[in-house]
Amino acid sequence: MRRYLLRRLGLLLLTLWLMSVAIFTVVQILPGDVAKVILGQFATPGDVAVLRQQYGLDHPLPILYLRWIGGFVTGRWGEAHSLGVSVISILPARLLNSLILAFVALLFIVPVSIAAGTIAALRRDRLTDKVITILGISLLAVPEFVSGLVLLFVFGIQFHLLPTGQLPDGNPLSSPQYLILPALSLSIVLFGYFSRMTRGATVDALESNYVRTAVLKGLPFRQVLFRHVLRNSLVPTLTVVASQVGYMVGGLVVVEKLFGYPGIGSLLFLAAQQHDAILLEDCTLVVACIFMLSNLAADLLYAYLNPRIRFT
Amino acid sequence: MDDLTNHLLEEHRKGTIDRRELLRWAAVLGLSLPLLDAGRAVAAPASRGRAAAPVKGGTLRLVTSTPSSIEPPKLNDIAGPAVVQLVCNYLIKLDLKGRLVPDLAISWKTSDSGKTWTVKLRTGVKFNNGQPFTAKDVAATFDRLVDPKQASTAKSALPFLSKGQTQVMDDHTVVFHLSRAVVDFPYYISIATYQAAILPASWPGNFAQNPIGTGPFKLVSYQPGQRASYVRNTNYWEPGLPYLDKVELLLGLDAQAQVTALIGGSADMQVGTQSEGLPVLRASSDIKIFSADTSAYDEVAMRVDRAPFTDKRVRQALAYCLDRPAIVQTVLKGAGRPANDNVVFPVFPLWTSNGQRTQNYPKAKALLAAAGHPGGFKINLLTTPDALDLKPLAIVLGQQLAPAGIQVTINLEPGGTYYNTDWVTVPFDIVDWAARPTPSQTLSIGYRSGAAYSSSHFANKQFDSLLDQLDSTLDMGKRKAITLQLANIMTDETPALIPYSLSAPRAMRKNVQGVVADPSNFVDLSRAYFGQS
Repeated sequence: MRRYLLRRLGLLLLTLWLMSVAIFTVVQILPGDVAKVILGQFATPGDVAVLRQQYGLDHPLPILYLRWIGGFVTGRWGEAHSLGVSVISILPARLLNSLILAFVALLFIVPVSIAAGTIAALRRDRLTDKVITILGISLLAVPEFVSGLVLLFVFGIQFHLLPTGQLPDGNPLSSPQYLILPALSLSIVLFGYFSRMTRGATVDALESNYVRTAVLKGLPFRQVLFRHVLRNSLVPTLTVVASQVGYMVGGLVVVEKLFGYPGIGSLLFLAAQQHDAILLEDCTLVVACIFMLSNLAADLLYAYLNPRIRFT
Repeated sequence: MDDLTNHLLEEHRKGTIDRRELLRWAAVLGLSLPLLDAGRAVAAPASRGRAAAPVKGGTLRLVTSTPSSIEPPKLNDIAGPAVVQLVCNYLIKLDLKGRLVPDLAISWKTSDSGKTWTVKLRTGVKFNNGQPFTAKDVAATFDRLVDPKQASTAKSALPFLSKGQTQVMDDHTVVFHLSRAVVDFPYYISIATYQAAILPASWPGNFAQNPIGTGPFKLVSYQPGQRASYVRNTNYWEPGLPYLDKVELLLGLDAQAQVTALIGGSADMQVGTQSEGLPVLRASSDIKIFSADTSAYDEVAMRVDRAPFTDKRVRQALAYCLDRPAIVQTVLKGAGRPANDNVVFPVFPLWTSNGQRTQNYPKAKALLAAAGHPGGFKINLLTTPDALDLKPLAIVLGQQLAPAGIQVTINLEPGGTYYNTDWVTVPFDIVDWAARPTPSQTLSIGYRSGAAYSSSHFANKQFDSLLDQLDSTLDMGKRKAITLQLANIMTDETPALIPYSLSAPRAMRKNVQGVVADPSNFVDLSRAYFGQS
């Protein structure tokens, strides 16, 4: 177990280092830089040079890379020049907001999709199953910017049930009503995925020999379902949920932009738009860390829940 | 009375200039206080509101995008000036007709036909940190903008002013010494140079932490990319103002999110409204939309030194393919006026019509055939989707050029790349130009020979010398004639298609009073209040 963990962590660090090189290279080969973006299309070359020097951008690439990655590892994350503040003063709060949004969405969608998937499996090939399946697949095919707009229009504009603007103070916990629409829009994407996964695993469990034995030996249906079916069918579902956390935290650019939600996705978008290299690099690397850690957590969870898997 | 005053009054008597223009020029040249006061009464935005007495109190929620910078010397978009303008004043404001209105300056005049300008400042004004406002602060503000050691987005607009040339005469008088005559100089120290917000001489930089100004509101918290919160400046120098208790400026919302916030009731007013949102906003019964004519425009530039645009007839042929009223309706949803391939727009008092090109395919084809392209040609058009009107314009342009045999392939680049250098190097591109207060400024930046930001690389000696004359001529009739000549050269040579000038629409909820649209989307909430909707 320990050797397995150490090996996984080692691989994780190696991957992160390769990612950092890739991120840095991609960001640096984009033409233009934050000095030019700030000063705009009519800037004089002299002004751009002055600002580049002030921001310390006028160094060779290897120096810039070492300075960035060194700062990242030691916690000195540099300045987000496009916003005029340090990265450390803004990124952790944005990350926390994204985690809160992801958590709220999961809190809602995990029970709902597990219930729907289980019901579909129990009513396999009947009308209920078909409705849930078609609904899940259809929702899976609707991009967030469509479902989000529909939600905004219906709940925000037509019926004025939920707020459409930005969080009043940037803190989602003090105005939780602002979380509902983005969480719902996120849930719509994930519903199809999670419920299909649950249905498949439940169908497998229902067809297994141990469930047949449990039914034949006369156990009550509830006991068969909760003790024997769900305990087995939830294993793949939960690992899929864990593996989606990366997407839910770093991949929310569209949802966060649409609802003006102050998470790391909208910050990433802003950094890309403003060519703010340091902010963009830091955000991307943080999101990469979250992706890898959530994948590692999914693997560990799977192994923990399923004793047939051994750490080797 | 100096020669200028005499000259103006004489022109007014002869009927060359009307009363409105006399007032305007009196304001430019800082001639007499009674005239200025007359100009001021016209300018007060509140006079456009309802007759009922303004109600005090309330929080106005203003919504805009993310500023690229909020440091006054580095302002560069719509959102940044909004953050600063609630806190700061300028020397001179502009009213909706583009006339100069005293703000922290109470009078201005030139003693030598535009090379030296003496500006008298308002007394008894204090910054929001308690410090008195004096001439030193004005000198420091302008030195900061033109200091070669500091980056500023205003420097290229003030090439005739260098550091140290703003002289403090006494506590409330400054003198600007220019390197050449600039008859329009008061415009350059007005809000039109939006970086010239007056800051104290001791301002250490970092506006978010040191938001020191003389304006109606105080910045109390700034969350980058999210919001700026303001409270009323209780010591504001205009008595009884502002009416509002607080202003919340919501940042970081794109055009669509701004519209939903406004219609859904999470915001009260937009700083500037993009044309694509207009149909939805017009359909809402809770929203009213004001609009101001501007000198902002979108330019389809053709590099005159690259084939096939080296031949003037080819450039003219493209111009005759455009159905401009249709373009204004489809691309701008009506928020603009057709233009005639020159940048002297009706909003400028110096404007005289030089006609209007209309769609004429036979003429376009004949011109193409004469230039050796009887069947038309294929061409790549580059633009950016980051400025919202440009991509729709590219598409409509492609459709309208096709019947003449010109096949357009549209290429799109993100703004950061496009505005870096591509927009001034490729042969055929579309770019957006902000509003500028005088034709001279617009013409010089984009079309003078060798201008750094000339997307068409237009070069014409006669045009350049007319531009020089415009900046040093005082006679109004002559200025109008020169401006018309410049417009005629531009239309005839057609270095660029200028299909329209833009309007600046501003949408707000119906209960917002005392604030209207602004040609540059500047925000003056000193007289805003909540009333009946």
